[in-house]
Amino acid sequence: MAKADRKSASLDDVIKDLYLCNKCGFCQPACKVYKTDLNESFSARGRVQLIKGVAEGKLPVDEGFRDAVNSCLLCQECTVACPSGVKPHELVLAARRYMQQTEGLPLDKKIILGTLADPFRRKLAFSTARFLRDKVSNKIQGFNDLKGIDVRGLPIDKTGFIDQVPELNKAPVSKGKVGFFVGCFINHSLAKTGHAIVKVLNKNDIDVVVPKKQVCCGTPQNAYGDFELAKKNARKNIRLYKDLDAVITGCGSCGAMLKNEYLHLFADEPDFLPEVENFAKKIFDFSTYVMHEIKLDPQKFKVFHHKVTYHDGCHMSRGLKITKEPRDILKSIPRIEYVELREADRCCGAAGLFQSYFYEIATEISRQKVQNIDNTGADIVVTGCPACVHRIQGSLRLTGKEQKVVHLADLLAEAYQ
Amino acid sequence: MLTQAMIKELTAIVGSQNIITNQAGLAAYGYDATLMAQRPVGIVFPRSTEDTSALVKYANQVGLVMVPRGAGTNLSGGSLPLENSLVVCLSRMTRILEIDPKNFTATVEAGLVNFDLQEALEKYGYYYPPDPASYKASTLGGNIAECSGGPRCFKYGVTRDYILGLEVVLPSGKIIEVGGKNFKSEFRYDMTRLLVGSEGTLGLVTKAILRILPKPFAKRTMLAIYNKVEDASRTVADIVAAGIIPTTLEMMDNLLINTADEHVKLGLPRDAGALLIIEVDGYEVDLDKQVRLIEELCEKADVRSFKVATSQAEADQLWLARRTVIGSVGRRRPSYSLQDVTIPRSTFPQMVDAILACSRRYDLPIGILAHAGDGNFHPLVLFDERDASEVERVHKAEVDLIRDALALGGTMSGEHGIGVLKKEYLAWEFSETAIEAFRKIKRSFDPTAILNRGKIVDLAAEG
Amino acid sequence: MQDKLLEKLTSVVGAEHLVENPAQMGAFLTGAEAPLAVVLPGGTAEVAAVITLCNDLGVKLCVGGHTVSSKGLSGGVAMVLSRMNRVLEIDHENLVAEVEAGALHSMFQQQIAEQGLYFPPEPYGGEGSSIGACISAGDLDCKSFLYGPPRTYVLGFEMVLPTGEVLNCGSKVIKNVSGYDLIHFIVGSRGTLGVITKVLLKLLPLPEARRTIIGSFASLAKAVQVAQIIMERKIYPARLNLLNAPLAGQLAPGSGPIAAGPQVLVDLEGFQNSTEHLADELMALFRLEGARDALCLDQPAAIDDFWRQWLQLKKAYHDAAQDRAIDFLVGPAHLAEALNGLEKLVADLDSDSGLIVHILNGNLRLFPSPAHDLPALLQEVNRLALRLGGNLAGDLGYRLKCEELRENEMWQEMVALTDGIRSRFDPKGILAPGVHQ
Repeated sequence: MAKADRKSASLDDVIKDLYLCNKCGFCQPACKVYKTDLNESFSARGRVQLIKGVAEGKLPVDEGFRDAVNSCLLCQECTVACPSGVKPHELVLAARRYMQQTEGLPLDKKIILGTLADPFRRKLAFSTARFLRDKVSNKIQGFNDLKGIDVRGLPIDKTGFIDQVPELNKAPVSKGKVGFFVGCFINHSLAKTGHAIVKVLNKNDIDVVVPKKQVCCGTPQNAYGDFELAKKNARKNIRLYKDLDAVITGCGSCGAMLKNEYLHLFADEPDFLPEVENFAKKIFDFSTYVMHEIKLDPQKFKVFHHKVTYHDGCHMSRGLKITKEPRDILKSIPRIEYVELREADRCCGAAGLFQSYFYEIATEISRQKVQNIDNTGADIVVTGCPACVHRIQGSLRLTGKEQKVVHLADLLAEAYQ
Repeated sequence: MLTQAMIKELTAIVGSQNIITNQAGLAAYGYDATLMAQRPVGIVFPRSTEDTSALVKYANQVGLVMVPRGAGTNLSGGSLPLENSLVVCLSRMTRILEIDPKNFTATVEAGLVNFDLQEALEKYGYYYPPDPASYKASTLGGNIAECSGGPRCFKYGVTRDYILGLEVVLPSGKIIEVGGKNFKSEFRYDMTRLLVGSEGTLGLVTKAILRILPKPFAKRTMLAIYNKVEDASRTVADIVAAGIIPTTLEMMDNLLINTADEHVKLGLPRDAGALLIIEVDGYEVDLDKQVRLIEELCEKADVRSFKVATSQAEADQLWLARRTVIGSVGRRRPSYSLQDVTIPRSTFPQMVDAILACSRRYDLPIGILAHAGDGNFHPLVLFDERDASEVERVHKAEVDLIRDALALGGTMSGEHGIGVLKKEYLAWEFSETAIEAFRKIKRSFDPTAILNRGKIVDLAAEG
Repeated sequence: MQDKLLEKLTSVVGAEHLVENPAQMGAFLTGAEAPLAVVLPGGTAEVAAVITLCNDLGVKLCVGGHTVSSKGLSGGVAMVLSRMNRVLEIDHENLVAEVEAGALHSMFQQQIAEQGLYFPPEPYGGEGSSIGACISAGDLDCKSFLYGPPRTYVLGFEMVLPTGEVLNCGSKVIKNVSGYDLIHFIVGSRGTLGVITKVLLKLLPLPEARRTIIGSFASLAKAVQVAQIIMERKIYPARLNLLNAPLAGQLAPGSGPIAAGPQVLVDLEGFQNSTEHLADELMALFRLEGARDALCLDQPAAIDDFWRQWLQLKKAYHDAAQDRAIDFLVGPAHLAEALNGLEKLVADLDSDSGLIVHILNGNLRLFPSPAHDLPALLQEVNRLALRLGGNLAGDLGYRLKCEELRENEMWQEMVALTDGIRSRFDPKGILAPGVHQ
C-alpha cells in the first residue's frame, strides 16, 4: 500500500487504497468507537467509505464527514484486523490532511496544536492550567469531572522535568550513554516518571542526556493533518540527537512518532531521508531498551507484594509493536502477582484530543477499561504511555476506584534497590 | 426525502441521539458488503421493541418503506436500502436478556453481535453453534434474517436449527411472539422457521430465544494440504461417503492459500493446490479413531501433508486464516464477487471443474473457498470495479456459476440469501407455483410491501 | 352432484381404488363423521386431479397415510396415500433418500438401516404411521434434543396445493436459504396447506454402537434427580426418558419385567468407545443412586425390541387418552419443580395417572385418570408451566398463554396471520377441515 502522501492536498493518492476496502465489515468489532456508539459513520469501514465518497466527489466535506473523520482514535486496531490490508488509520490521516489543507483547522485545534509544538507556549499553557486547577476548579461545582476528565486530579508539575535535571545525568559507573526524549506529558505532568527512567538507567550504569532544546515530537500536529508543523519539530529533534547512539522514549505515542511516522513525513525528501532513517533506528522504548540492550539485572529487584496488570497503549502495541517486553519485565519482579487485563490492548479513551471532542464516547470507552481493570482485582495498573496513565487514573478516580496507575518505569524504579 | 415534520415525529419516538439524517450518515448506511449502494432517506435506531413498533406504525401512516439492518455485513443486498427508504437499524439493541444454560437457552435482543454472545456464553462453558465468518461483526438479528450458516453447519446445522422463538414487530407495527423457550411452542404453523431467513421482509425481529449447547468435550483440528485441488475434492467426497460427519470440512484453493497466508502469516506452502481444514469433535475416546480414518482417506487422495493441530493456539490461527480469507483477496484485486452456490456433495468435483472452466472462459481469477462438507461454495471472482469490461465479464461469470450449480441439482443460495442480488434468477430455481407461494407468504404478512420492499420477490402490485 | 363427483373420482383413481361402502371405509377412518368416499391415488398426478376436483366443487378433503381423521369431513373425501409407499432413492453419497409420503415410517427406517443409514425421528403414531404423517405433524419426539426435530431432516418435498398445482421445493443440498423457507415451514402444517406427496430426507450414518440402560427407582423424585445428574455430567443420550410406575410396569426389557417403580430409560447411540464407557458410567451411577434394579441391554435385537415396546406403550396411552393427554414443557432444569407442582394438582402422580417425561426436552406428558376435570386441570397445568418459563404444547398452549397473560392483541394477530396464510393457499378452505378448529 502506498503511503498517504504527507504533502499533497488531494485524496487522489489514496484512491487506490480506498478501493481496496470491500466493505466486509470485519473491522467493526476492532473499532472501539463503533462498538461504543454503534453508528456506521463512526466505524473504520464507515470512515473509509465516506472518505471514498469525498475523494470521488460524491460527498461534500460537511459536519457529518468531519465528525466521522475526527472520531477516529488512530488506535490502528482496524488496520490489524483488516483482511484486505487496508490501513484505515492512514486513510483517516490523509483525510484530516485534506481538510487541513482545503479548509484549514478550526481555531481551537489550531491554537492547541500550535501551543504544543512550541516549548515556550507549551510551558505557559501548562502553568496556566495548573493555576486554573488549583485556584479556580475547586470553586466551580462540577469542575472536577470536566467532560470525563478528572481536572482536579490532573498532575501538573510546577517546573518541567527538563528544567529539573541537568543535561547530562551521569551514572556512578558509566558503561554507556543514551539520550532521553522526554515528551510533553512526562515533562509537564509526570516528572517523577522522568526521574524514574533516569534512575533505572543510571542504576544500570548508563549516562542519560536530556537535551534542553527538545520539542514536541509532532504527534498531535501529525494527527490532525498539520504536517508542516510536525515536520518543523521533527527536524529540530532529529538534529538535536544527532550525536547519540540511542534515544530512549517513555511514551508509546512519542516513540511511534519518532520511529515510524517521521519516515512517512519525510518520504518526499530523499536527501534528508537517510538521516531520518538513521534517527529512527536508534529510537528505543524504555521497556525494550532495558530488556534487550542493557539486560536488566533481575538480582537487583526487591520483593514487591502487589497484584499488577498491564494496559497496552495503542501506539505502544500497534505502533511500536511492543507487547511482550513490559509483561516480561513485570513478571520478573519477585513475588509480583501479574494478571492479564481483558482487552488489554484496546484504547483507554484518551486518544489525544479525542477525549475532549467526543467526550461521551471517550467516557464510555474509559468506563469499559475501568470495568476490565476492576475485574482483574489488581491494585496497580502499569502502562507505558503517560497519556494512558492520566486517562485511566482519572477515570478510576472519577468512578471512586482506588487502583493506582503507574508508568512501567515508576514501578521499576520502586522495585529497584 | 424526509420532511421536517417526519424528522420531528421520528425523533420524538427514538430521541435525537438515535436518528441520522445528515449526508455523511446517509452515505454510511447506503451500503452493505456487496458492491451495491443506495442512500436511504434516514436512519433510526430503536432502543426497544416499543420504539420499533411505534416507528413501524408511524412509517405506515406516512407510507415510508423501511429496511431493517444490523451490522450491514450482508452479502446479498438484503439489508441494502432501495429507493426512498428508511433504515431501521437494530444495532443498538444489544442486551442479553437471559442466559439459561441449564435449559439450553439464551434470550437476546436482535442487535447483539454473534461474537459478543459467544463470549458471554464462554464462562458457562456453552456456545451458540451458528458462526458465520462475519460472526465478530454481524448481529444475531442479521444472522436470523439471512439464516446464516458458517463452518460448523456440516454437523451442527444452520441458524434455523437454533432459534426457539422470536419477538417480532409485524409490518403493521403490532408485536407478536412466535415459538418460545421450549420446542412445541408454535401456534398452528412453524412461524419461527418462516421468519428465519425471510431477510426482514415479513417482520422486524427484535428479540430471539436461542438454543445454546455445552462446548464439546474434545476436538481435533486437522490440516490437509494437496498439490491439486482435484485431490482435495476427492477427499471431500470420500469422507462424506465413508459416513463421517466432521464438525467442519473447509476447502481453500491456491489463490486463497496465498492471500490468507499474507494476512495471517501461517507459513502455508504457497505452491499448494488446495488445503482442507477438517475438524471433528465429541468424546475424547472416540476422536483418535476418526482422525486415523480421515488421514487414511486423505492419503488415498494423494495428500501432500496431513497434520493435526497440537494446540488450541495452532487451531485458532488456522481458523483466523479461514475466517478472514474472503477479505484477504483484496490483496490481489480490489473487488470481489462472492457467491454461495450449494450443490449436492457428491457433485463436489464437478462444481470445482465448473468453477475452473468459468475462470478460464472469462479470464478472471476465481478463488475457490468451500464449506466442502455442505457442498457450499464461495467462488470469489476477483476484479476491479472501475474496469467496466471486467465488471461485465464478472456478471456473466456469476450467471454461469449459478446455472452450473442449478444444473448439478443445487441451489443458488446456501447461506447468504436472495436479497436483491439474486432476485432476478429466482425463476431458474423455482417454478412459478413456488414463486407465487412466496408471494402468498409475503402478502399474508405485508400486503403493501412496506417492509424491505423489493427483496426476495416483488408483489405484482408494486410494479 | 355427489354421483358426479364419485364418477369423476373413479375415473381418476380407478374403481378399485375408491371405497364408498361405509363399512369398508371404516378401516381407513378415525373419528365419527362420514365422508362420501375414500380414494387411494397411485401417484402425484392422481392426487392433483382429485384435489382439483374437490377444489372446483368446494368439497372438503382430508389426507392420511393409512388412516384419515374424518373430523369435519361429512360429505367430503378422504384420501389415503398407502399406495404411494415407495422409497424412490437411497443416495449414499449425499446421505439423502427420496420417499413417497405413504411409505411406512418404521419400514423406511428398517430399510435404510440395512444399508447403514439412519433417520432419527420416531414414528409419530407407532408401527402404522407414514413418513408423510411424520412430516405433516412435525411433532417433537424424545430424540429431538440430540438429533433435532423432524424438520431437521427435510431437504425438500413435492406437494399438491389445494388449488391443484404441484409445488416442488428443495433439493439434495443440506444448506439452502433460497427464497422463503417453505421447506421447513411445511413441516407441522398438518395437511392444511397442501398434500405432501414426496419428501427428500437427510440421513445420517447409522451409529456405530448402541446401549440401552434402564433403572427403576423408589420414587419419581429420585428418578428425576438421577436424570438430572446425567445431564449435569453433560451426557446427552439419544433418549432420556422417565416413566411413572404404572407405565414402567408394562415394559419388559430383556428377559422380563424389572423391579417395580418409576424408571429412567437411557438410549445411548454413538461411537463404540464412548458408548461403552458411558454405559458403564450410567450403570454405576444408577447403582450408586440406589436403583432398585438396573439393566443394560447391549444386543441390537433386545434394544430394538425394548424401544418397540416403548413406542407401542406410548401410542396405546395416547390412543386411550384421546384428547385428554396433557402435554407441556418447562425446560429440563425445571422438571423436579414441575413434578412437585403436578403432584399437588393430581395427587396420584405415581399410581393412577400415566406420566412420560422427555427429560432432555423438558417435556412432560400426563395422562390423567378419568376422575380429573380436564379443563380445570389444563388451566392449572398451564399456570404451572408458565410459572416455570414453559407452556402447554401447541395451539392450546399458545391460546391459554395469551389468555393467562391477557395478550389479546397478539392472540388476534396470530389467528389473523395464520388464517391469512391458510386461506391464501386454500382459498376455498377444502383441506383438513378438522385442523385449527
